[in-house]
Amino acid sequence: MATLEEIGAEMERFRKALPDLLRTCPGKWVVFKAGRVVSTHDDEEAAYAAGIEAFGRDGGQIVVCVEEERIYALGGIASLTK
Amino acid sequence: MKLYYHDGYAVAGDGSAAKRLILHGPIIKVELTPWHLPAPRVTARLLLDTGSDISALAQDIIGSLGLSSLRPVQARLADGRVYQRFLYRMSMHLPVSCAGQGAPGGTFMFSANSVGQEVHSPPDMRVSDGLIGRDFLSHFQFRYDGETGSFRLEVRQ
Repeated sequence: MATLEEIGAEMERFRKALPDLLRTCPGKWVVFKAGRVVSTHDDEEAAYAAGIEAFGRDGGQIVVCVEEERIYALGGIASLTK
Repeated sequence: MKLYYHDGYAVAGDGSAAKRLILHGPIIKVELTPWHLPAPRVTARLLLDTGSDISALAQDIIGSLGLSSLRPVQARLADGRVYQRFLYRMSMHLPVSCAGQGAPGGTFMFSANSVGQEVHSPPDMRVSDGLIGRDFLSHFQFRYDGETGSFRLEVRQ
């Protein structure tokens, strides 16, 4: 199984590629592995299924939307702060 | 969002009743499995939290499900600080009843994402095992009846 460190490292590679991806496939869901886009999809469900088909459930791929990264509030009280 | 019907849930009349779920909250008991797999199956009690952008689940439950992370995300917790959390995808099985149609209850299965959160108290000492946030609720029309403590989720057409 891919470790969380490996998943985190893949996300770092995605962040570096994001400026280019925002020009080529904005708003798309992508399967991303080893620093490159493996496939693009219209929704997360389809991307997740494609990632499993290509690499299995523990292959170390990430599934992510090509958009500016956001910060999520987790727990109602967190939404009170910026 | 894809909606799956399970366990012989009856579709009444024109079928619209099958898309209306009534649950009693604010903590509901659900069953979780890895995405589109029948096992392992873990029961969890989740708190409905309209103040959360995303759903969360105790990390030990994610471990029991044997899930690999989709990706890390940035999450602001109650202390106002931003932390990295890992996001996981799973199937959530909701026990439901059918409003006013006389149809038997059943189970609906949804795809759901949750971030993992370390919880230091054992499962039997927790108020809940996680949160259901607006990421999940955004797929429904959500109505809460404060007198009965029940809420209704209707799938958007």
